[in-house]
Amino acid sequence: MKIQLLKNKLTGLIIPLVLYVAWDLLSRYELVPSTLMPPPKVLFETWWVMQSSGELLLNMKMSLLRVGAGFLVGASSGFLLGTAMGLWKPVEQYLNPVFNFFRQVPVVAWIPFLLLWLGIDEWFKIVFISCGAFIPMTLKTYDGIKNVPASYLEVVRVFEYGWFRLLRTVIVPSALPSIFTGLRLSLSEAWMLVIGAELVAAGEGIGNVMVIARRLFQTDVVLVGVIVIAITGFAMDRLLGLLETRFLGWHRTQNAQ
Amino acid sequence: MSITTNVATFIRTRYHGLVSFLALFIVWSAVSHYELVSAEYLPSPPAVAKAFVKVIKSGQLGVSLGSSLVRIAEGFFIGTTLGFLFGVAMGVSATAERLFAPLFNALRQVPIIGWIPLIIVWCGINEPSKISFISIGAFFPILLSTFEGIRSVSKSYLEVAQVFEYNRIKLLRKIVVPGAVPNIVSGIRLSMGTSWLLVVWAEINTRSAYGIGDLLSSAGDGKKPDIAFVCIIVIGIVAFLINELFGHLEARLSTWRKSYR
Repeated sequence: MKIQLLKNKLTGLIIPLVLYVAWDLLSRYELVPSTLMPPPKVLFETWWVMQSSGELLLNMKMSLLRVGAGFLVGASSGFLLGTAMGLWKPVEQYLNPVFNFFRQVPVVAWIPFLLLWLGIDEWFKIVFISCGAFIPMTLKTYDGIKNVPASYLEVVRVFEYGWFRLLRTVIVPSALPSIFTGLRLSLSEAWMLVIGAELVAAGEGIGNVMVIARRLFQTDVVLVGVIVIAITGFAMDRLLGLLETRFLGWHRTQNAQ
Repeated sequence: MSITTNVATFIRTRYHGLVSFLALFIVWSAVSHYELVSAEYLPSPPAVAKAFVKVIKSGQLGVSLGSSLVRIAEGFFIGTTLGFLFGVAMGVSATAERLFAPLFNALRQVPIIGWIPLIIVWCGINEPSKISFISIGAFFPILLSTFEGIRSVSKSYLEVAQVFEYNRIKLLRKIVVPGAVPNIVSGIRLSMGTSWLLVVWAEINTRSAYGIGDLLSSAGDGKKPDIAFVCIIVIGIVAFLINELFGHLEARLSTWRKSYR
């Protein structure tokens, strides 16, 4: 059984390994110009230089701070709007159509306006990221509250729970899995948008490092950037996943995803 | 008679949304009318309407929208075809899954926008780079949904196929792929929606002559907020239409599944 499992894992390494060897050979014998495809060794060296000079850390810190700020603002306001629309009928009736209307417009379309209103500095990036993080969070919070099973609410009515108790013991626990999904969606959206914002508007940040490298044709730096943002995105999602299992261990189906 | 009652019930049950939109519109008109915010930053409703007519009449909007849609069609075609093929292979064969899953899972971690600088280095800033960027975005949703769709085909169908001694091709054609269709269509909807916003990203990052994203960003650069506003509205409407269209298709293609359960 164990050997079979190991075998399965090893099969997955075949293609990456083949690609790696092909890449190494192609770049070593200059079959592909090294400006387009620097050999793996160069990539490691570039990474090491960026790492030890502190360039990578400094820019990652800037990007992560932006994501943190944007995610905090966007997700918390999304949570508030989602909760309000889920719990109060009038709020839902008046605001849900407007929310649905604006949700149709991809955030990228607002870039020129945001640039016009906020300039190309921090404010633009943070507001832009918050807008992106806001939408999935609102949707998922609202969904989670709306999908509390009616039978639970009937039980609650029988026991004559108070408002607060109803919220604490029934609505929040059953909406929580959906809220966590919202958190994960909006964090990965925020991470993607920070790169996008940094591509469009200059300033420090990992996206900007990639833009500058791209202009100077430093393919190695661009590739290091791609790898670093992929790993960071994965790590952030994993972190939220761990929190989710910790708080929602009882909710099996969600963890299975 | 019935139309008026329909309208009446619609207004009675749904008027809240209309009230909010009306309020927003009034605030917008008032703010721009009394120039609380200068027209440079917030165009007035009539200005937006005028700009709308202008870009339609001059053909700018049509050409831009057309070139963006062509780009989407090309990128979407490449991405979905590859995604579908890999999805079927990985869904049907466990070996293919073991071979490819780790690679695709790793590649999927890159935030899609992060590919832009790399693609520009590799393919330049012309059509090929935009199309390959859109293909990457369209590839993953289809891959995942095809794979999941095939894996979700009920075991009892496969047993029936065994009883009738279907060969591999017939099994694939008659059972596996039709069973996966609802998932595949929802994957198409997802990747179509993604393609639409990726074409805007691509066009903003690599300027070209025509494209809705080009129209948008040149309006932003040229301090023409009225045209930028028109672009936002058009982008929103197209996104909405894509979602609705494929939503209907999805619902229609899934009905047989519901009725069988």
